[in-house]
Amino acid sequence: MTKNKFSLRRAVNNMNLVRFRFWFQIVAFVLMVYGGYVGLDLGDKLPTFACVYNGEGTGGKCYVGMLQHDLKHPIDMFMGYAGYAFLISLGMFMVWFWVLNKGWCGFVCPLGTMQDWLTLLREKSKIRYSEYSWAHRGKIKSIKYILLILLLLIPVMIANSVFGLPKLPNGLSMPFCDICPGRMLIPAFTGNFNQFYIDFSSKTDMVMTAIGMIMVGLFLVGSFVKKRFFCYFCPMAALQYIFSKPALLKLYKDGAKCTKCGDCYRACDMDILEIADDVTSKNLVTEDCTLCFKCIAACPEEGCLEANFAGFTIFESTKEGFIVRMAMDQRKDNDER
Amino acid sequence: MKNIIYKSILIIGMACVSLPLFADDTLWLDEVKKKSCCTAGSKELEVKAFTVKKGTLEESETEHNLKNAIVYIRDMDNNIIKHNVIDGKISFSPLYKGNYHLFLEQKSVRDEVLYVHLSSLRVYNKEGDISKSVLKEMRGKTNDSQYGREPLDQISFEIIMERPIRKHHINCCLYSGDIAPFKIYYKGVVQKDVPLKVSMESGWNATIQPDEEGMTSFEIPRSTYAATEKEKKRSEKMIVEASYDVNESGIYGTEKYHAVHYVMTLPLSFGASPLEYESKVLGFATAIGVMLVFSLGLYYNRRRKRKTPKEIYFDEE
Repeated sequence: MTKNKFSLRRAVNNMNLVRFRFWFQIVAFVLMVYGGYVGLDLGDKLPTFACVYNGEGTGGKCYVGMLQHDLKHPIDMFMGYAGYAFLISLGMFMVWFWVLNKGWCGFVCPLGTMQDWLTLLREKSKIRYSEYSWAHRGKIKSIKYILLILLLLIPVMIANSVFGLPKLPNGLSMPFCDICPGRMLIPAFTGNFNQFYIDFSSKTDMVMTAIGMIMVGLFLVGSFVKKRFFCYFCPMAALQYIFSKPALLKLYKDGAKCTKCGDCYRACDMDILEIADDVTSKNLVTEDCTLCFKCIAACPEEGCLEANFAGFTIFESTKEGFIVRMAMDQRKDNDER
Repeated sequence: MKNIIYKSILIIGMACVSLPLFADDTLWLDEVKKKSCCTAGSKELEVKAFTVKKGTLEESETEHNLKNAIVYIRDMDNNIIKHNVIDGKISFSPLYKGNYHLFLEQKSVRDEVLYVHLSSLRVYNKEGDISKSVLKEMRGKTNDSQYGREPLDQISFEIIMERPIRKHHINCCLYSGDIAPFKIYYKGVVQKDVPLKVSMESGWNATIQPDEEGMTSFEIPRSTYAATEKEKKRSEKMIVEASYDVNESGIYGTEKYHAVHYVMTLPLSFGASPLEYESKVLGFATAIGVMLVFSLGLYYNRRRKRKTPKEIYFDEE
């Protein structure tokens, strides 16, 4: 029995994470984009971009859409039912989020999966990737927080006069959804291209829908040349990070075992420097981390990095696992040649 | 034999008289919209108010003289409550957020014919009683489907709107250009030979015959071009109506009848088609244009810089 348990742990630690994640993402994508057709409904507080505009196909709905809707109430209404509904929704969002932490981004998010597919396409096409310059990275990181503040503030300012300012036009009621590429691209997978449009009914609608279409163009090209291009700007990532600390799934690092070889950093889609550089922190889930666990798979040190779920190690770096995966890569390279 | 001839004459006579009679006698439910919510923030539930209207969309008045009228209110969990109509008005406080369906039934006997006037209206409630809605809010699915419900057992004759075929991006509402399909039921069975009359606020009227399956569909006409010049996202009302005669005898109250005449109305509202103020071509052109500009920019930037790629020897397939 002990031997079996040991074997299971070894099999997990030696697994081909890239292949596992590829298939996991496909299953999650199918459930999120087409699940509604078979009656799947995970509610409307999901911490991932399961798009509400996907109509009947969607297997659940993104909380960012719900959040904007919840906040668009006059203050007196917000003090009643709307306020309670907002708190319940936020609570449910946190419950969902705490299960997988930022693993929602790395394993479930349909928009993240699309970006990974575009990266795969680029790699197959042998086109070189791009990366953000370190000089601009700080500014880029702050964009997601600016977007989050705007998407929280604008719906409030539609329903209320804040600081005596005039109320904003109703066309801004879902400001992030208007510019989110998921609104156009996720329904497109069900054959619905109706979200590709520019609305000329008012200046606000025209500007917002035009920005939305520009975002689609940027998303498709950006994700092709830069891994997880959109995740750097994603306000959902910013919102998630606020509640990340008590989550069940964690990425732990034992700094004493780290040799700062940099393999983890090189494997990271989000170019998170702390993963290689920080040898003092235990919890290494940063604001940009998608918990894809590529860093664990790339780490050659025994037990240096680990994925931990509610106190139990579910996947950790081992010398054997590193060698097995290197051999897999080598075989693949040889096959391709 | 004499009885059959008598009944036939009665039904034919009724049919001849009925057309102008319908126009005057059509009853339909109308929601009284509040200018602002008066109960927001208080613990009291919001009161929804409705009136029973008589006549056409162009010329209508509140029907105050309704005797024995009943309203059935069905919530999204299929719970049905019975409600009275007082002076042509109905008011109730919904407990939950979501869709409620109201069914008005008014019976009267005239010239030995039982007239059953029916009307149905869907209403969406934004706020409910939070103490009763916690689980629903947690579940996150407080809105049920608006369309294609089972016929209500309490009424014999019903028009049910099936899921419309939409031509644009908005899922919640009806818009001109959508194809609205209906089925007409008598005692739970689809009627395949009952025509549907449609009348719109703008004056468009039509009578539509069902297909072999009993489905009556029509495209909501784009009669709003002039109006959309002034207000692009305007909405308009329409009423769909069907009637059905049954050769049936009985007693209603103290009065005998030899035939039953059902009339059902379904008031709906729809907006001007977004296609009238949206451009899909321009949307696609913008996205493709941005892709081209961004790609070319990247290409020339790379040629200029000739950067050495980051060395990756893991997970680069």
